[in-house]
Amino acid sequence: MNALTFLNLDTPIHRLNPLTKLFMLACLWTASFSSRNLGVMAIIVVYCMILWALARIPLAGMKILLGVVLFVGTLMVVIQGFFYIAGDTVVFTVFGKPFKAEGAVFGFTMMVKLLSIASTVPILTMTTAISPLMAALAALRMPYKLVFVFGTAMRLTPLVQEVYEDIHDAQRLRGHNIKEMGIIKKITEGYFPIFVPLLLCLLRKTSDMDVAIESRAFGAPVKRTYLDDVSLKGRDYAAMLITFVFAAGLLATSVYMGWGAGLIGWGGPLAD
Amino acid sequence: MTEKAAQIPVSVKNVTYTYPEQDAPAIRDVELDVKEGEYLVIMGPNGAGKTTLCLLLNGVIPSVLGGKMRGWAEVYGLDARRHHVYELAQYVGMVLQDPEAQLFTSNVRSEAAFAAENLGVPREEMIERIDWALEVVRLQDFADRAPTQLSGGQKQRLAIAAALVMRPSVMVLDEPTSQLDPIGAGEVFSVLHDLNQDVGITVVLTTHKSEHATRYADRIVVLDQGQIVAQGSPSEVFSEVELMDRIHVQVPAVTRVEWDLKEALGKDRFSVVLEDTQASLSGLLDKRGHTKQQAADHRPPPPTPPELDTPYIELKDVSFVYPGTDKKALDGVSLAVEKGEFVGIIGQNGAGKTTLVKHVIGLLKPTEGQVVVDGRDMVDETVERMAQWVGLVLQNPDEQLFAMSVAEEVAFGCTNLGLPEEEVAERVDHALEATGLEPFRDVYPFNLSFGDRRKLSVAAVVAMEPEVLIFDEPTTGQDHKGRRELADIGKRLNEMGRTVLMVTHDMDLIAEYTKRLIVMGEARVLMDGPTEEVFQQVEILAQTYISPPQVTQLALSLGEYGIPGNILLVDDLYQVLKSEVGV
Repeated sequence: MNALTFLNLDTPIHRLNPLTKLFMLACLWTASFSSRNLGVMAIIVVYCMILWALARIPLAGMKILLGVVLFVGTLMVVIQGFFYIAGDTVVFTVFGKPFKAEGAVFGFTMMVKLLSIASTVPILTMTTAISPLMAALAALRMPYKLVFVFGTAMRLTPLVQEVYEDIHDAQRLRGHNIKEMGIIKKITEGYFPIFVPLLLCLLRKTSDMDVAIESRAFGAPVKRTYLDDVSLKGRDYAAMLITFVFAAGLLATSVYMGWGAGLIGWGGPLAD
Repeated sequence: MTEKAAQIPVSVKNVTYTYPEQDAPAIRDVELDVKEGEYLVIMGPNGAGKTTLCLLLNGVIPSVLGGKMRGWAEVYGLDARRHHVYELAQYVGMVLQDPEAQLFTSNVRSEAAFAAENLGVPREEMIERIDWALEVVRLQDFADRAPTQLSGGQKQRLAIAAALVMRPSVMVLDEPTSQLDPIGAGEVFSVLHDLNQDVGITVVLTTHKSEHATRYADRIVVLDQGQIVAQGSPSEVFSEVELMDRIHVQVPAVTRVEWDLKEALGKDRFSVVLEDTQASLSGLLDKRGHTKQQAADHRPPPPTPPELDTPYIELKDVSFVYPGTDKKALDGVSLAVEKGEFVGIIGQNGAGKTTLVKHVIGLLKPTEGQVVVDGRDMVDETVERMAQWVGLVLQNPDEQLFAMSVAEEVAFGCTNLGLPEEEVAERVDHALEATGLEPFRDVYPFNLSFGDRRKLSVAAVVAMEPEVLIFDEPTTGQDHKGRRELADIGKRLNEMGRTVLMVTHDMDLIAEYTKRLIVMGEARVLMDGPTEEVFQQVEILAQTYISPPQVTQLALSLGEYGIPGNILLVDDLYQVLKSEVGV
């Protein structure tokens, strides 16, 4: 399970219309992008965590996503610590290169911003099945073929992973030990016996899929209908209103307090 | 629609079709009328043109795949060349071999809805159609499940439902059960039987499973090298035993028994189902003065596992739970295998067979218990190192082939073992010879037939000269000839002293090739003993949805005439009957 895997549960968040969830994400992203204040972004993360709890999203499912955020964030802290132009609070030096507190705080702020954005993703992906999401995107007047490509890509992701693992195992059974190879050998020799069959298997599967899709009248020149009802209900309006008020409040606070773009850290003191 | 079109919904006239970039036609001069309400089974060896004919029936050929077509195909009065697939799809529903490749959405209900959505069916009517289709295929209780959570048989039934929502009059199914275990295949055949009998849908189906074909088909068409070589009722077709043998189509065991006894039975048209043959033979035995004995159960008690002094493979109370699940895939499994044995492993899907053999090579490590191979505790061993002692041939050869020639492909494993060049060359020669691939050593692997690609995957393992060779479902997608060729390779290697384990759903192969049989069910070993003794335990086998080979069932059903129940081969039963009946 990962943050893109749909969890088939019946929770208040699962019951929301995908359009509502898209709207909520848009609100939270706007609030996050409009501020560089750690507090604002921490509040967004907490808000998302409340939604996770309502959606019964297990933390285990977030492991990969949080790992990526932590890895990228740590890189940001290190890079910004050494290369941040403004500020003069030197914490330590490495080979004569100063590591500045302002840079580290800026990197850390970026990490929390990334976290606040990433935290919103599972609220859509882990609580929405592909077909209602596709219906919602079509309702937003996205071309259906584009929507279908998106849906198929979502479906293919775990399939590719599964085939990759099977091929990896098949080659290990022939003594192919990619783990023990150095990086150069891995690139020149290691991946070839895995990626060639992977590519050929996927080509065959997609060719079969093409026949199956055509056989189910895909592309018929009629106005497509949808099984999923994408009309908004009372709960959708309530969820949108709450999130909108929440995001608008954060946005207004950021603007009022002067915590907008260009500022770092907690907003005031370090920004100057 | 004309009256003729209603009676003959699908008509193929003198069609020859060649795929793009191919020289030889896949089907030649094919003439076929499918009658309304008919259950038509198309049989033939791999490469005979069965899939091509199916794709022609719903218009995918030629309008999607292109190629050159001569002749004429008509679906409900519509010319297949001039009408798009979506038009024909409303008359002809299609189900493919690989269940994974035809399910694209996140739950059963939306999968069933896909075709109706494409056709712009109003939502209320769509819901009605979906409910009906899911009920027909008995998946109404699974509507909110993800397709990935379904078993193989359920996935194929879902693919049938996904086609049924278009309310087609004809269902075309291309080897829908080739990747399923006996229970999954039984579910699919049973649903198709109901659709044909109760709903009146015309069924066109390709399969290698002659026992299923004979039970349900009104008519069988046999293809070979792209041409129809026989057609008629199952009895008419399979009575041509010599022709079927020549083109490698499996004749049902009961038909072959009657064919062997044709003079004594005075027949030239033979039965194709067990009950009819049983009646014929009972009549013959009665006529020859064999009286029925007191109904007594002569079957031996369930066998006990052999006691081995020097086991090469040993599993000691092994349990295994896949990460992210809480159900045991193996539950307290203990068994031992000695060097030089040929052991069959059977059981329904999910019984734990593949999980078991993956422990023997170290792909999986036990959650509890211990696996020891040649004195090595598998917890401390890597797969890459174990590959020199244990070879596992996986189901799908295409998941490992990557080299530019057959010889290079076979050499890959030996090179990984760090062997000197001369020895690698020697082993490659030997492996190609053992698998009959010597003439293809410079051929690009993907230019080989599917059967030869399977042999290549075996050769790639054989070249590493492992002490133990494990075949995991070697018969999947294989015709009668291909199945036997692979089992013959296993037999030859076993005669050369190798230990062979064969996981399969093919009871005829198990009966013919293995001396010892392990039956898995619900993650446990249900039985372990000599093959002939295991196959007499019909009730225990039924727990894991397995029936003994048809010839054993026939022998067991004639038990009251004193026919022993431990018969595994047609020839053995013939010899017994010959001595009993005096033919």
